[in-house]
Amino acid sequence: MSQLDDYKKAMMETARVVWGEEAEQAKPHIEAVAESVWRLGELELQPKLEPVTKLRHGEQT
Amino acid sequence: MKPYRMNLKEATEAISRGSLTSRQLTESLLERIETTESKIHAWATIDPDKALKGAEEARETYGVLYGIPVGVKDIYYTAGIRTMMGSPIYRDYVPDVDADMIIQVKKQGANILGKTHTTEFALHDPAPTTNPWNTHHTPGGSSSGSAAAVATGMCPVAFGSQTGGSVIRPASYCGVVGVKPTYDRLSRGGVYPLAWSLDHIGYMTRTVEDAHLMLQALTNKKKPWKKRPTPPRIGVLRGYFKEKANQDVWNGYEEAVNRLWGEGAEMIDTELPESFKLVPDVHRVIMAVEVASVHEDLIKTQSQMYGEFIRGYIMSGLLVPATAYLRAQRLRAKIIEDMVKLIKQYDCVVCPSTTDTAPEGLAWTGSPAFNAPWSLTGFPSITVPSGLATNELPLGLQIIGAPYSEWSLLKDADWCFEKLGFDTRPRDPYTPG
Repeated sequence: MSQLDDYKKAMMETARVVWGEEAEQAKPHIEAVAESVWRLGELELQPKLEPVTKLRHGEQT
Repeated sequence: MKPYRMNLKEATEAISRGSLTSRQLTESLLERIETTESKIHAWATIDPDKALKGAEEARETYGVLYGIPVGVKDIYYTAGIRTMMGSPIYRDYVPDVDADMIIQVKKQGANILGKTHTTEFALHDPAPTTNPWNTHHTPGGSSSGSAAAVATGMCPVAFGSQTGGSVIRPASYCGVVGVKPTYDRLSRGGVYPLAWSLDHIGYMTRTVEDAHLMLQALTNKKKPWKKRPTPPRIGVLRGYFKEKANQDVWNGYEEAVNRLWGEGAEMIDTELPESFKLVPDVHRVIMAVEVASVHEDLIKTQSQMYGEFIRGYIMSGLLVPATAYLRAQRLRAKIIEDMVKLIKQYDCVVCPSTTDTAPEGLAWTGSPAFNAPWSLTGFPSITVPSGLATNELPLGLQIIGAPYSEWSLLKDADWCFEKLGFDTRPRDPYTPG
């Protein structure tokens, strides 16, 4: 089993602890989000790269 | 011409000349709704008496939209008119205030015709609305009712909103013009949020000139309509889009690109930056977390009132670590930086508006994959109908510009719209078989 599979499994286990059987219905969403989180987590980012906290593209015309 | 067939500009001119009154226009639209609504199901709430009273009251206010009835997506607060957000939780909710954009169109002389169906809380659980081009197909979502109403001639203009692809996709599926201005160009005040940093105000019309008129009304700026004197310089996007489009859509796109080139536009192949491939993951993480945060409290007490899709979506967002959300927002900054550099080399860039034509059935409103990049970056985008696929459903060309380039982008879109020559007059609902 890959690390990604382990991560998805861990997310599902957390969901089961929080919501019980209802978590099964959310499985496709939870796994899709877990995959995205995992893939983004594999990237190395420079500390100077700041998050978007409010989109401001500049002055309106 | 029957008033319901008039586009926005024609109707405003007829009312200004005195050859048409707001009441006559409203009556004609109500008649059109009466004859087509049983097949289309575009309206969540419509009160003919209130609409006609609104038409009388609108005579007191002279503005760009003088006497024009407007359709409003059912997540915009409308004072005295039921606003359900597509959810049974709000089935009896009547706000006592208007959303900022509703206040603005009323100042410009418009009246509210009614509320159009949305998917549940503007996410995926579908509305009952059908596609006028083939009622066995979805009109797209989440602004389902607005797109179908404009396409059918039930109103000349309608509000939508977009977090992934909820304006551009339904507009394209229904063969009308859809506009999603730059993030924060138009106030989201009084519109029920889906994901704050991705939510955009938008609208649908049947021509690009109408879209220009509407933007004037919404921004309160006087910008006389002028056509482009010369063909635009257009960046042609492929890569990511070619990989995800179905063959019909891709053939239609290449045909549209060739047509525009033949008409004199400079069509330049352009490479997407490496960071663009992160768009689906970045968009998904940000949206899931923000949707979860919006609904975190309400779902604790009303869980059983939520549809299956949105409930699962909220649960997925609640599980995302804070650092993962911030990582996505940091990568979003990089994507925006790279895309601004690319897009500023051209007047605009183009790609197909959707991955496919309107899917059969109402359960799935289609993929936002071609629209989410512009919701994530906040860049303005416009869809214009570009032709019909082999299944006789509309295709759209999506035209994207740099932040706050709406006014020039509308001219570029109009140039493309005119050269592509798609007939956007109201359609009678078609049900095969």
